[in-house]
Parts: sequence; structure tokens; C-alpha cells
Amino acid sequence: MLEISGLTTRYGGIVAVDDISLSMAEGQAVAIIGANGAGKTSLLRTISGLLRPASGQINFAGTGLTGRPAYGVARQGILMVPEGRQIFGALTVEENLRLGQRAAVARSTAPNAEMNKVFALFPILAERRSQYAGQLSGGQQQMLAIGRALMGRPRLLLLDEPSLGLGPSVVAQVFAALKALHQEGLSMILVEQNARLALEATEFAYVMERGRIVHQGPSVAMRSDPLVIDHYLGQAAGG
Amino acid sequence: MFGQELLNGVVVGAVYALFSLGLTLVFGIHRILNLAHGAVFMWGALIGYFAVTGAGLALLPAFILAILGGALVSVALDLLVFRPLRRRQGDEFGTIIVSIGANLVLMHLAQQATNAQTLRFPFGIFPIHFYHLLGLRVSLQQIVIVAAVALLVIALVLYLFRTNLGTDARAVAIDERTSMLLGINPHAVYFGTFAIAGALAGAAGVILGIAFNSVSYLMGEPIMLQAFVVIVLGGLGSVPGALLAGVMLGVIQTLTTVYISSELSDAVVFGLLFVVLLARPRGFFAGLHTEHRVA
Repeated sequence: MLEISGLTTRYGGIVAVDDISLSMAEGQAVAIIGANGAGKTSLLRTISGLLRPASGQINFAGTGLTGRPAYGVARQGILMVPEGRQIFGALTVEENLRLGQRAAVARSTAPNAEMNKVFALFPILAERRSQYAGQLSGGQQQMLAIGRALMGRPRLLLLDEPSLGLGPSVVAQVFAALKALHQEGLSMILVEQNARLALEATEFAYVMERGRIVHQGPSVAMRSDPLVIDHYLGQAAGG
Repeated sequence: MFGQELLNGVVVGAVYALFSLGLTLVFGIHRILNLAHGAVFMWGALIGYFAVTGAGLALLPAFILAILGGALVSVALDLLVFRPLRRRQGDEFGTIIVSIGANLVLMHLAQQATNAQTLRFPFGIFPIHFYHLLGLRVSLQQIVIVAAVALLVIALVLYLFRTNLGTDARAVAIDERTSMLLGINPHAVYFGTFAIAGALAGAAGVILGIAFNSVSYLMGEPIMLQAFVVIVLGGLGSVPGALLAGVMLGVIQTLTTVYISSELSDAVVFGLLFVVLLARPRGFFAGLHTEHRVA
């Protein structure tokens, strides 16, 4: 459903994404792992339309997305949970979720049932629905950021470092939710520094280094791949 | 009499607040300090004047026309001046400079349209009635001004807190990039903000033009200076702050003029601004874009 070919993005004077091609099928969960600064976030931002590629093509379910503004990409059903969560702290939890509906409304799919689904997935958000989002804990904010993206009825969910800065029990909770969503058939691309987590939650994985894809394969195989263990699983084990 | 002057000050201050709301809104949501906002105000007054004298309209339709005209000028400013700069990723300082240029252009056009004359509404455009309330002499005009300001402010608050576009605007105020990731079209939000800011400025222009019975291409300049004080005192981007500070400014100015001297009123106002900023550097209230973060 997603086809990327020859994608190159320059950002801040460097080539952050260097001639990347990848494809994924509907219903797949794909991990992108790699060290800090490898270009994972830049790749996600290029797909989501926040960064404009210098060259290359992005096609999604038969529609060309290259050069579309971010709100246009969102309205096609590609929704991103950005790094650092980026919830609207001065708005209530419910207002945050309702803002998430905008992408679905633009596609005129009925979004009204979605809030109950989000509350079923993350019951704490239902309890706190009229609180300011800024008053939530980091883990709850991450749940809100995911819930907000789900409100837009994603056909493809992009997740940028969802485990960042969270304690182990919250990380487990968040990833359990992601796995449940995936089992219901949601396609996702997961960018993670914590490679172990990422490989457990996905079927296929790409390894990025200095803007390029240097290695790829099924996530199960990657977990026992000595090269991956040496470079990524060793460091991130504590993660 | 003190109560009487207080009342007069509140009425003038309400109009300052109305004007300043647009300025603080555009800054609070989009980080644009629009120095042509005074020209929008002036054009609102001019449109109201021409609607009455040229087209022979009654006051209410002329007022509505001025509101629409103000919105139109303000939206045009965004589309022709600020948006091209945004597209090229201009910074905040760049927008300030181009808004100075736009202000000069709009003033020059008005100078041509009015032959640089100060225009006066026909005598008796507003019925002169006085009421006695609680020992004060209250004019019909004062009542209508305060009622009009109150209505417009209520409409603004409903827009911001009860409509989808208003919620989008508050989201864009906090983080435009993240808003886009949710499918919010920021261009629509810019359009809404500038239209509303311009409508409020246009309304304020007609009201002050009639209240002081004077419309000129220069009338936007002094009120911009007042509005700076208002939005800084109130807290940049804050609606309640602009209201409170606007009314305060009107009252202080009026009382200073009556009890001390009219020449000193600006000195007192700016002196006060300085003192308040020493105590509260961010003004009375936090603005729309302020985050309440825990971590």
C-alpha cells in the first residue's frame, strides 16, 4: 500500500534521507531502527509531508503523495504520532481527541464511534477527559498522542519513538496497545531506538545508517542476526 | 465628577479593547505582529463614512458594511503580504517590516480617497439621548457602544471555544506543525483569524469615528500605540487580558486627562506599563499559545 522509491531529503544542510526505497503491504507493521541521527525521523517526516523531498516518489494506495502538504497527507489517512508526543497541553484531553477527528472528517468517514474505541484502548483517558492534557503524566500523554491519531481513522499509522522517556511498565502498556491495534489489521511504521521492542512488535524491519537503508529483513530473523545484535540490540537492551 | 469620568473611561476603553483583541489574536495564534492593524481600523471608519455619506445608508447597515470591509482588508493583507512571506519561510522580524510597508500603502490610499481631509459624519447621525442611571449621565451612544463591544466579544469567545475552526485556531496557536499532522489546514485558520481581527478593527473604527466625530487617514496611528500597551499589559495572545487592559487604559487615560493634564496622559500610561512589566513581565494573563506542561 505504501511505495517509496529513490527518496532523498535534505534537511539543515545535510542529506538526511539518502535515496531510500521501501514498500509495505496493507496490514503490515514495519520497524525502522538505527542509531540517533540515522535519518529515521526525517524519513517519517518526509512521508507525513512535514519535510519536502528533494527527489523521489511516495505513493500510497495508488495516490501520489510527493510534495503534498502535511494536512493533505493526513487526510489521505496517514497519521503520525510525532516524537515527544506533541499533545496540546493547554487544551483538554477531549479537545485533543476531537482535533484528531479532522483527518477522518475530511475523508467523510464517520468518526463518532472512534472516541469510545480510544477510551476502550486507554481507559485512563476517559477518566481524565476534561483535564488539561498538559497535566497528564508522560505515559498518559503518549497514550493521548496515539489516541488522537486513531481518531483520524488511520489507514497507516506512523509512530516516532513512542517509548522515548517512558518508564518500562508504561512502555509495556503502550506496546501492548500497539500490538492489539496491529492485530486488528492496522498498518504501521514504527521508528524506534529501542530495537528489541521494535522488532518484537513488527513483521519486517529496516536498519538505517547515515540516511541510507543498510539492512532489511523479517523482524524475527533480525532478532537473531548477529550484526543487528552487535550494533543495535546490545546497546538498546536496557532501553 | 469621578463616577462620570470613570464611565467615560470605560466606554473608550471598551473600544480600545475591541481594537486590541484583533492584534493580540493574530499575534497569539500566528506570531504575526501586524503593524497594519491600525490601517484596517482606519479603513473600517472610512468605509462606514462613505456608506453613510456616499451611499446614503443608515447607520446599522453602514456599521455592518464597515465590519465586512475591515475583514476584507485584513484577509487581503494576509493573502497578499504575509502568506507569500510564510511560503518563503520568512521570520517574525520580516513580517513586522512588511506590515509597516502595508500600513503605509493603506494609509496612502486613504489619503488619496479623502484628499487628506478630516471627515465628519453628518450632524445627528446618532440620536442624542441621555439617561440618568445611579446619578450618572449616560448617553444612548455610550450604551450602544458598550453593548456592541460586548456582543462582538461574546461572538469572538464563541468562535474560539465553541466552533471547530476556533478549536483548530487554538491548536495552531500552540503548534502549527502538529495541527497539520492531524489534517488541519492552517490556511483556513489564517483566513479565519485575519477575518475576525479585521472585523473587530473595522467595528472599532466606525465606533470611534462616530464617537469623536472625526475620520482621517491618520486615525490608525495613535490607537496602535494604545493597543501595544493593551496587548503587552494583558499578556500577548490573551483575550481576557486585552479586555481588562483595554478598559483599564481607557479609564486611566480619561482620569489622567481630567485630574492631571492631557499632555501627561501618555506619560502616565507608558510609565504604568513599565511598572507593571517590572512586576509581571508577561502581562496579566498567559496567552493562547502558552502551554501548561508538567514534564
